[in-house]
Amino acid sequence: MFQRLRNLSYLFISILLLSCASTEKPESYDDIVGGSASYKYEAWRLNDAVESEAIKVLLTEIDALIEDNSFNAATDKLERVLRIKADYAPAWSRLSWIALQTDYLERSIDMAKRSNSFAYGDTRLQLLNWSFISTASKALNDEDNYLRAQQKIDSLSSF
Amino acid sequence: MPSNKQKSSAAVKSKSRSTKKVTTDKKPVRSRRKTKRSTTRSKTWSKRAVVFVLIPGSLLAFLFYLVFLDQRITQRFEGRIWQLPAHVYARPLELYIGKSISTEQLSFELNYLNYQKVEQLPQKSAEYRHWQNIFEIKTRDFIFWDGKEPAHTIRVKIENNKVVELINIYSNSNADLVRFDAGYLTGIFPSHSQDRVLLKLDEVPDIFIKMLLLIEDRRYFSHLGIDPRSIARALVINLSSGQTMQGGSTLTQQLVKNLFLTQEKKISRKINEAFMSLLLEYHYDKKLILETYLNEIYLGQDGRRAIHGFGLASEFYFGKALKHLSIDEMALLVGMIKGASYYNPKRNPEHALERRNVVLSSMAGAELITERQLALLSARPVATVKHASLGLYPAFVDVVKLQLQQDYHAEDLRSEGLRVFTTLDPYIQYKSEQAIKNTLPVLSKDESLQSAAVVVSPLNGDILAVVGDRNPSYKGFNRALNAERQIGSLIKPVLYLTALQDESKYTLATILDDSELIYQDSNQLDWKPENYDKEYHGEVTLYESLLKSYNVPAVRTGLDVGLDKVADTLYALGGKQISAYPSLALGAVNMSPMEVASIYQSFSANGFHSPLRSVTAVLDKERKPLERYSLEVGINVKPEAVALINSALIDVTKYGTAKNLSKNLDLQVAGKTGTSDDLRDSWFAGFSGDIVAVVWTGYDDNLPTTLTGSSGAMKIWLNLVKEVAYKPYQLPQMTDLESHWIDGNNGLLAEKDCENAVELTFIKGTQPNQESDCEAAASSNWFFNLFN
Repeated sequence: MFQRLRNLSYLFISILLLSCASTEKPESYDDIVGGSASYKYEAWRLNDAVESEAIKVLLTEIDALIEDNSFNAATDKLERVLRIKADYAPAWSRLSWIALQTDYLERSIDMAKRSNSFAYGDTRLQLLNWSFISTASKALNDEDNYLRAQQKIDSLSSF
Repeated sequence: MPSNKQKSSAAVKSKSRSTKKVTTDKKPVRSRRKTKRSTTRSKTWSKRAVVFVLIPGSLLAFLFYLVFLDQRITQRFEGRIWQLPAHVYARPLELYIGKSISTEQLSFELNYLNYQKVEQLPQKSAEYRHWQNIFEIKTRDFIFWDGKEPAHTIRVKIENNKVVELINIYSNSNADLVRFDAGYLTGIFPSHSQDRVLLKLDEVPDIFIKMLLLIEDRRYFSHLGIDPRSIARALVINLSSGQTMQGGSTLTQQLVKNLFLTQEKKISRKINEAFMSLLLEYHYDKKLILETYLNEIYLGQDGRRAIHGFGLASEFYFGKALKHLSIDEMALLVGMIKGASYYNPKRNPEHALERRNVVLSSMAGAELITERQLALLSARPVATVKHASLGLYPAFVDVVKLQLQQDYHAEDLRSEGLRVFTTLDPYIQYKSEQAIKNTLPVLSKDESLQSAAVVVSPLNGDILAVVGDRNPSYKGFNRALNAERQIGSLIKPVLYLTALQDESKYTLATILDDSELIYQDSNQLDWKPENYDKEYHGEVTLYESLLKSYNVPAVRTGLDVGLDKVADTLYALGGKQISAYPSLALGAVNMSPMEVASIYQSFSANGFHSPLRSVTAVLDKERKPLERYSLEVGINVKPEAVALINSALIDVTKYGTAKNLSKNLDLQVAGKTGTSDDLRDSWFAGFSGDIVAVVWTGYDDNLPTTLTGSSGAMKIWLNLVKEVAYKPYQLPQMTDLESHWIDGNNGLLAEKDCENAVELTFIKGTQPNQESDCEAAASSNWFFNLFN
């Protein structure tokens, strides 16, 4: 009996903790940023109907390079994407992500901001970029920017 | 002991000498005997000296001589044989559906890359066919920093200055993205100006090697460095003809002569050459020697640049790699060995053709080609590529060197064979040069009036073109980089941006005071700024003040926001650090066109600054990546405030001091005129969606011109931009921005049809909350009609 009560209480506490966690990070944020090992964020997904074949080809090559941990080569190709379409926000966002992976934290913040400057109306991508800014700011011990990024994440998540 | 034969001979010699002595020195007999005995003894010693000292000494000296030669050879061969210049390339052209490009530009690019126009479907690399708006092109393969780009055979269709069709001809499928080879720009040469493209033996076609050995050294693989049979044959021919008809030098001897010796015709040089050839062959493999020969041989001159090796020669004369040459082209190069100047196909095509056909005949004789091939190949004309003369774009190359010097020693640039990929856009460079060359004479007949221009990419700060002189190929003073001149009103967007960043105090509708202002500096000296029209305009909006470039309200605003803050904003936008002083508000600060371009790049990118770069990557001589200069971006100003400034800068080109631009351009641009005191400097800085361009005009000695920013530099800017810009400048979409109609007289909210109404951009919530009681105008465009 006591054992069963104890198990039930553990279960209850676990559910409580999980629900707390989900209020701390809104569902939409988790959906987008995910914390998964995969770098292929939904926010980067190609709009097949809109994007040119040239960009599609390059992005396919970029994915292969990233899977191969060839970040420099992937960066080169992302720059080629931007020469084709300077305002292609997902490419800037990928540059931010690569900078984050390679510990170029300030560069990651700059690229994420640039991505956001082209991500008008794309809440999903803005949220992802703010998550990069938040992570990089935290790693830089930049409390102000970290908190600002968190606020942005919260406000965007509420959409 | 000397032998008997030697003894008697010595005795004879000593006898004759002693006889001579008797006749000259009449000494007593006893004394003579003594002398004779001592002479004989000394001769014996001489003989011994010859045997024991001179012969071994000579042998030793000879040995030292050989060791010396040997050291010279091994040191050179085991170290770096050549100083290889850095080769500098322009940016590669990329084609894809939707790419903005005119047929004129594509033709220019193909010509720049030395592609040959043909009448049929291109079969060989670097050939193209063109009719109407369609191009069929076979590109060259090329090694870039991110790998090898293969050759493509494509059909390109251009409509309305855009690529609308891009097809792989052979597979009849869409080509998604085609990158052309990068055009050769220049070299950074060692002092001797030798240039070469290194070849490896396995990159050289077999037929070429056979042809070369047939003509130059048939027994190359069997002799030891010198070929007595060849020497004897040459001797007989030359003696019988009475002149030097034929040389007997092997390839090894030719290589030794070129690498280690002079061209002088002396027996001592020939002796050195022979011994060094033997030593070279003793130490090194025949294949290495042959490979070195292929890269060393002198094959002509291009101005100061000496063309060495078949790798460079094939590119220089035919615009393609050796492996892609036809047999007649190869024969021409091999024929040139006999006399690179006399048989130069560019200078003396008849001599070159004659010599080429001699080579082809020899090949037929040796059954390397058939008689039919001989007839066919011999009938072909000598065709070489037209080459842009070296030394083009010196102003841009200055910028490249400046960037490279941050990471490389000057010596390495001249000797390590680096391949430098730059951001130069050859078409924009050409059009920039043309704009200056063609417009300056229209502005003034005075040929000492100078100009400079810088064109950069808004996206990434890539420097696309630089012109530093009215004669663009002049290699002297580079005004784009080094002429620091007062920028005048180009400072005003920076000043007003500083104000607009304080959104609680300033908006585009803020009323500024344009009345007399006397400023007393710290030395109690009065300064009274004036407007260009020498009038005051009372109360004006910030927007109108920027549009019409009023000076007095600008000074008041600068003093109000703090000139130190203006200096900070300038720095945040990519300008240099300057100290603050009142006349800064009117642009009394010296800057080069390059520095101004750096600032206006930030405006064009809505506040995001990318440091200007002229180099994107450097490869080593093995074509492996050495350095990559990645895109950088940062922001230190409020993007919303920059958008407000840019909205006003668009209107400057429609209704303000640069209104003539909108009348002459089909696309929307933004920009600002600048004129310094007494019309000493005429500036225009502006941007479309795809380029930022800055033009300066003035005199080197700082004398006044008769030109304002709009009557001088802007005209050059217009002629440049209308040729190379395809995309209009659009304000960025931002959630925090919105537009409102404002009464231009008082800066209050107005109805659209109100007289003086103007639509201005605001950061949300900063628009005026009072409404103007202005009356409706007959035309809602009255405000702008007034300006026009």
